[in-house]
Amino acid sequence: MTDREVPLDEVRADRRRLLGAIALAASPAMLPAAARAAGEGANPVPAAHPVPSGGALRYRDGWLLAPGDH
Amino acid sequence: MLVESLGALPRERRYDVCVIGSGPAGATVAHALGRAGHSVLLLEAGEETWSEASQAVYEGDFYGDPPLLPMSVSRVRQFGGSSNHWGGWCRPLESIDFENKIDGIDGAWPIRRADLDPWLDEACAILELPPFPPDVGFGDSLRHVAFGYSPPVNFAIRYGDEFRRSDRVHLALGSYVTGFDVDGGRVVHARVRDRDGAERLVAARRFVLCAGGIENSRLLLWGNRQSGGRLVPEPAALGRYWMEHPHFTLGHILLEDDFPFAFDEKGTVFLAPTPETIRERRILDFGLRVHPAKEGVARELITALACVAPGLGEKVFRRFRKRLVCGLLLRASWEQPPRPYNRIVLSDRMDAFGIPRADLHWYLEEFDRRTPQVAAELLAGELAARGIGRIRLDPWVSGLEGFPADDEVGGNHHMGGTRMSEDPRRGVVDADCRVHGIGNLYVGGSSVFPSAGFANPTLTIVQLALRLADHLARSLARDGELHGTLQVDTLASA
Repeated sequence: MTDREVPLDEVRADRRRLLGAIALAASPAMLPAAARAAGEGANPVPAAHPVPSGGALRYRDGWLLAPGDH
Repeated sequence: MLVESLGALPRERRYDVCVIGSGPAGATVAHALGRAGHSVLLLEAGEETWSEASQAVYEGDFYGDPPLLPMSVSRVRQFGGSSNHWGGWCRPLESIDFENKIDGIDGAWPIRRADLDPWLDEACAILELPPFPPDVGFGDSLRHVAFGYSPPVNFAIRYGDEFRRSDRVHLALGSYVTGFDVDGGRVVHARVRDRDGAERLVAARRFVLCAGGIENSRLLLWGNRQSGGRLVPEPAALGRYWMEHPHFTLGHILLEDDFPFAFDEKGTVFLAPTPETIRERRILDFGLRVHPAKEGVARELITALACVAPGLGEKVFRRFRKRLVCGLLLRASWEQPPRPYNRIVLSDRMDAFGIPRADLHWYLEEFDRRTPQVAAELLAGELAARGIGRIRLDPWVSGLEGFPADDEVGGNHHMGGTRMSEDPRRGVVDADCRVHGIGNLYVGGSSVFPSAGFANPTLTIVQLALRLADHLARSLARDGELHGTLQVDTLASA
């Protein structure tokens, strides 16, 4: 396996294309699914908001509330 | 001894060990080997004092969002390396940090904490750290843990006089390693740009690269390109699996009672997960940091709480008027999954010496939100169960926004890139920190970390450096037994 470099022209042209180039440069076996997920955006905001489950807590407007809080 | 110019050294001079870089790792390796009676040449690319010209070599492009501090700011190219500007926060890695925590996230070390424990006391002495108190449980899922604070030790000050007086450790400043000559699976020479601009060849029986968590990858990538792949014969992981400790504010705590733990000398209470919690919740390691909040925060929080839970808000406000409620700031740093696409690459831009700059690719992912989110939930659950507080999370923790760029973002903890693994497809160095496929080239520093835990890395760096020096001393002694005369500096340079 060789360490292929990512062409820097591509890097500067388009970050999304960059991630694709990295994916191509890496062995598929070394690129977990999370890498492909990360390629969707460098600073991801999930499409479906994963608000905290909170366990026994309730989530409301940023607050993690106990069941008896009203 | 201070070497004014490498050109003044005898051409036939061959050191036992050539150490490249004089930060916490390199200075510790040089000190320990000199103490063991070995001849050491310690090469530092910078000078005794900071300069813009030296720092400019560290400039490189960053790809990611949010951005880390520029690479020419977050590290120091000067005698003592980045110990010239570190904060001194220390804690050893946890036992679980050496294991694979989650299937599919390749974070296991080929060594265990017990392999570093023999060097903990000496590392603490070097860093002038008091003993670490035992952890204290906080519910079933969290522990109150302590950090130790180094003064902070500056390694140029700690070892500068010792190296100047030493007849075993020779320190050469302004000496920039720009390549390596490789023959028969061994490094024969380091190619060094002297401060007068001349290229010198340095011969040694062992070479130890301790240039920092970005520079180690850069120099090996460049050396490998120059040597046609002979310097790092197994380069699959080279530059990859680079890591930081993400540092962000998670939100605030509205506390109706005294916090169960006292704030330490830095005004912080640290909480970390139990190993069982890490496994059960499928998260990586984290350190919650609770600080006193700014004045006025408690009143603002109560007002917001009253909007979502009026009854609770009214009750809390009554206690607030009796000065029984306070606001706390909740921050965290945590362990990032090691990923091959977070990496150092060689730029097409050159530094002033014609060497490609380092470009850094660093991306956060949804897993980097999951760990702090679960951390906040665990603390909120414990505070609610005790009836002493509630937490309000910042929008990014809840997934409503991206990671905030105006926060600390990272701790300037540069880890990975030359990670340690027994499998050369997944690591650059073996468990002894020796580059796979090269008999006498070693790497020191946090670039060998396969995973990061949540503890600031310097204490582990010094432990690893002491362990590496011990390994080198033993291997040099074996060479002496086998080859006898090689201990004398007689090998002519090419």
